[in-house]
Amino acid sequence: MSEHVGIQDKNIELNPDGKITAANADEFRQELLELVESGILQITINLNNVDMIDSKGLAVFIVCHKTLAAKGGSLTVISDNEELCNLFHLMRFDEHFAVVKSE
Amino acid sequence: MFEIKHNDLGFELKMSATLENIDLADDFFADYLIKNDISTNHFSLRILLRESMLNAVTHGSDTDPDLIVNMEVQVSSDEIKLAVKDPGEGFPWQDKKPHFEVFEESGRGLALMHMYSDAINYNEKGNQVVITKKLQIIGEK
Repeated sequence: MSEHVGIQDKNIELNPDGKITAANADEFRQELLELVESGILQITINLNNVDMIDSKGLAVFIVCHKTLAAKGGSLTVISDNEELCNLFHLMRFDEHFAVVKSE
Repeated sequence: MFEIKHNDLGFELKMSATLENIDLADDFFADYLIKNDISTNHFSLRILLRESMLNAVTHGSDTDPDLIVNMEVQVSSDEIKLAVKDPGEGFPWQDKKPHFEVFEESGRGLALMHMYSDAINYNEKGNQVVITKKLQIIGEK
């Protein structure tokens, strides 16, 4: 469901679009876990084209973070959407992985 | 099934209990909020709709497309109310606290509903939730 905009060594940047919600969260989770399984250790998810994430979508981010951290990797989330950045803050995700507000 | 009826106070939605219909309901609601110039944070209201519908579809209806979830939206001069009802046995709201663990996969929905709303009330059985969000009064500081 995401456009892969770049793969370098063990890093990848993903550009999902639309919504990350209960209707597609399982698909997104599978995509991320397959990347980690393939050896990717640094995942950057650019949410500039995402306008909504619900509780099921949020769970995917914490699963991805936990899976990467267990392998010594890390997750970074980028968004220019103040509401989404605040949502990640309310869920205290920014205490555990990087949530970057882009211009 | 996905039916919307407009009325003087807002609208009523009846839909089959599917995850895809929650996205359709959110799309309709987002458009409704813009067209009716609802003066509060639209993202907050959409989260409230989504999480209440998600509970009704998954917990209240077991994501069974033969079951129907109802939602009524009523807008007044100072608040908007979302009432969501499912055909399930009811949510044990008396025992549930809006608490979540950051590393747990579940439990965020209820916490989000409390964070983004001004009031949440259930019927006795627990299969209907009424969520209230205050509107910003034009001219009020």
